[in-house]
Amino acid sequence: MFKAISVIAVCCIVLLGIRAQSTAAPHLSTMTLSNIEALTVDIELPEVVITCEPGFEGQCHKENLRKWVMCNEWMVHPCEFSGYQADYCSTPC
Amino acid sequence: MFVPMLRFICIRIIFLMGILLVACTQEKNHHAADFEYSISRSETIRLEDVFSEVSLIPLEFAGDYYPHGIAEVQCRAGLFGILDNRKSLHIFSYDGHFIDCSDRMRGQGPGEISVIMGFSINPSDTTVQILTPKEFVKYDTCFSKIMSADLPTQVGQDCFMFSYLSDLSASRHLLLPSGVSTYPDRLFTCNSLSQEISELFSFGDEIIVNSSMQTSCMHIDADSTILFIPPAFTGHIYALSPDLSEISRHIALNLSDDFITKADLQISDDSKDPDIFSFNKDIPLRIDISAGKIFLLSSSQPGLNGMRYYIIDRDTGTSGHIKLMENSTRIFPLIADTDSQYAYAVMEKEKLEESPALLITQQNMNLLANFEPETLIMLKYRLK
Repeated sequence: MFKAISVIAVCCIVLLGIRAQSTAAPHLSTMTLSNIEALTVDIELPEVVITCEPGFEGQCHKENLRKWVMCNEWMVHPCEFSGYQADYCSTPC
Repeated sequence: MFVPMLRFICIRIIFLMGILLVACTQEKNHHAADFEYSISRSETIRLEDVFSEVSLIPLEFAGDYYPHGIAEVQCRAGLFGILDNRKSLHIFSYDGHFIDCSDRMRGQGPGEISVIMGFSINPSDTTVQILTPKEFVKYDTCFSKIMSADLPTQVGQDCFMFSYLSDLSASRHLLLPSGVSTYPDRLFTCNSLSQEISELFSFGDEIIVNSSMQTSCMHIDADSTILFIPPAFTGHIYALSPDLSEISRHIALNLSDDFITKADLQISDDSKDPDIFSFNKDIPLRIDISAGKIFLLSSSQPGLNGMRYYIIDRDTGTSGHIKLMENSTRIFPLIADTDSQYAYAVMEKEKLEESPALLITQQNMNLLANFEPETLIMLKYRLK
């Protein structure tokens, strides 16, 4: 019986401690606040333009190593649209 | 304690045996091919052994439209569809009259196309169908939009877009992903009306050579058997059941030692893009099927000089081979498409003048002289 009461008491103390910690008002110095303000100044970012070249080659196209097409009398891998901006491909034909 | 344990072990054993039985049955179905053909260089054939005659159809391009190389040709429903290397699709009637070009529709507005991934001419409703990165679009032959359906797609690092399209009916199609897709070795069925797409078959494990010149991946035999030819050489042509629920190995192509093997290519597995032509062996590149023949195009060099056709008679199982060039002259055409009776090839007038063997008769040579310079000519070969 004594053991059970002491376990409950310890739990209550721990819970109260956690609650007190989480609801305590923050005590921030003016120095800290001014630092936060400095960090939240509006910074103009350049406009990001996503461009994929339409058609058959250029940006967002990748060499299709699994396909061959004839370019005059030679076999070449064609460019295929991948949609991924880091890809670039140009075709000799 | 002992009895439940014993019961548990017994259930496990029965379960495992069941799995083993199912696996063995599937393996058996998977390996049996209805037809087997051996392909070797034992017999040489001539153009006249394969074709009885050839018709010359000059393609009358109009306006500023002229193709930059030929990437793909489809001859269906009285129409020629020619996709050039710059992804412009030109449509002609069977007598060579220009109908329209997809360049007229190039743009990003409604009904316009900015990127063509693939196309087909659907014989069921005589329409032109185009795959874009996100859509399946159906046009009439003058590129007036009839309907469109969204395609599941993913762009970016995990690229997934379709580029092969074959038609089973006006609204049922077979789709295959583009070669730059993350998982290209899959066959899908698509209903463009209900916009339902489901995966049917993965052939990745069966690939021997993964680069190909295959443009058309489907052929329907006279007995309505639907044949699937993957855009990578697996050594097989597959048959689809009419309801598309099953796929089986229909034709096995057993290649001789003249061809590259899987073992050859595994040696260079470390390299991202192994030079498949460094082995100086035949690389199977493309399969075209007609009612009576199978044309297997192969090459030992990355150009016309190393190309040869192995032609198999489907009735007798005999095969012969012929090179495309001899003494720097073309002696056999590079086939662009086939149907039950004909094989089609496209060539410039000037190239044809240098290759009289392709014209079969002197009469055709005289006819060729009447065409304008730089005319693109559709050669329509009647199969023997």
